[in-house]
Amino acid sequence: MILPIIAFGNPVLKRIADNLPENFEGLSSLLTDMFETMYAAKGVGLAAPQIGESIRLFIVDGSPFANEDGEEIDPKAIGIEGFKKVFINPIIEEESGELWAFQEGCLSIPKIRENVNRKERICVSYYDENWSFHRDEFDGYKARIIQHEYDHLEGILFTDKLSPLKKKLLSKRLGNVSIGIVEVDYKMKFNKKK
Amino acid sequence: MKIGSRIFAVIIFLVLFILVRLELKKLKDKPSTAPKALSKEDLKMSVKYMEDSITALYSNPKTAISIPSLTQIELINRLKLYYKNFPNDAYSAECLFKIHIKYMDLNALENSVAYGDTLLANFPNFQNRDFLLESMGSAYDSGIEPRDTAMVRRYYTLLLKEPTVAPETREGIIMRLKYIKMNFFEYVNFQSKKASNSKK
Repeated sequence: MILPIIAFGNPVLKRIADNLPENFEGLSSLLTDMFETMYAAKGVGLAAPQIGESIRLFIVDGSPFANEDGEEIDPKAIGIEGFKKVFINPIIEEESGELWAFQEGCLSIPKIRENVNRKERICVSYYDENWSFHRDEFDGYKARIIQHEYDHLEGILFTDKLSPLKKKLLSKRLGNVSIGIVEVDYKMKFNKKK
Repeated sequence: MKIGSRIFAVIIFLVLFILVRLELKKLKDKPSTAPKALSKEDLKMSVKYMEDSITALYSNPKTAISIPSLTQIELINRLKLYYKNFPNDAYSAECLFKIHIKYMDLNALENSVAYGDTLLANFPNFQNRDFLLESMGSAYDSGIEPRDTAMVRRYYTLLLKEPTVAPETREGIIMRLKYIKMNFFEYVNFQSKKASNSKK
């Protein structure tokens, strides 16, 4: 089932999400729906708050970033093919390396892409869909996707990381996104007009 | 054999001691070479080289994404060096402005506003004063936590006193000050709902 993606402006996107209990009911079908929703929107990651669930869960599939044959190899994309994972109750234990800028977008904020600085490498602990515990290190685009989705669980959007002036310049477009004045080819839930 | 090797070690030690003393004396006797004072032109060139290198990296999307923050910090250091050496020179105003912007880009907002304040204090008639005031106000409005509405009001009020402010910017600032209690997120939502209601 493809779920509507919550648009910028909804308070659920600004809330710190709650941990999932191990007996969380309907986890499997929720994950199926989330993957379906993410693929329908051509995204590489989707966090539960983006479908209105304020819980600490996100999914990723970074394969669209994979190096293609004949293309110059992008070192940040090495190993991203098949990077399809579920992160439950994740904790970013450590971020290291240099800050690097990358133009990020977000399914909740369509048509807006801006450079965001993030650190190169992360160490994250999490449970997978079978409740197996992992503590892994990621870098490049893999780290970038995880950092972006993890922020959603903390109520942080990539626009929060932009310079205040850039935010100010974007404020009208963000406002339009929040009430649905934006062309988008996937299902979204915008904020009700008063 | 034991006594012989001890005497040999003492001799080696004495020879080395004398050699080291002689070298030290040579160094002391050398005329001191004071570091060459950095000229304005040298410092400006070093800033320009760095800016040109960063521009070249940005012009290529492949290299643009890998520009590390250290490159920007190096540019900031060169700008600071100019300001430190020639604090009253007109180009220092430009340096301070660039430092403010670069720190803003790096999200080092406290540093950004600190250099912005230095610029406002030392060069009150700086040509981009209105832009700087808007930038300072927005840093306090939607960047620095906890949000300090008194600081937002301070810079936006100063901005409104500038004759060069465009009418639509002025209108936006007056409106923002009216609803200053709302944070950026709340204000964007409020504005968009208001605009959509007025279209009905």
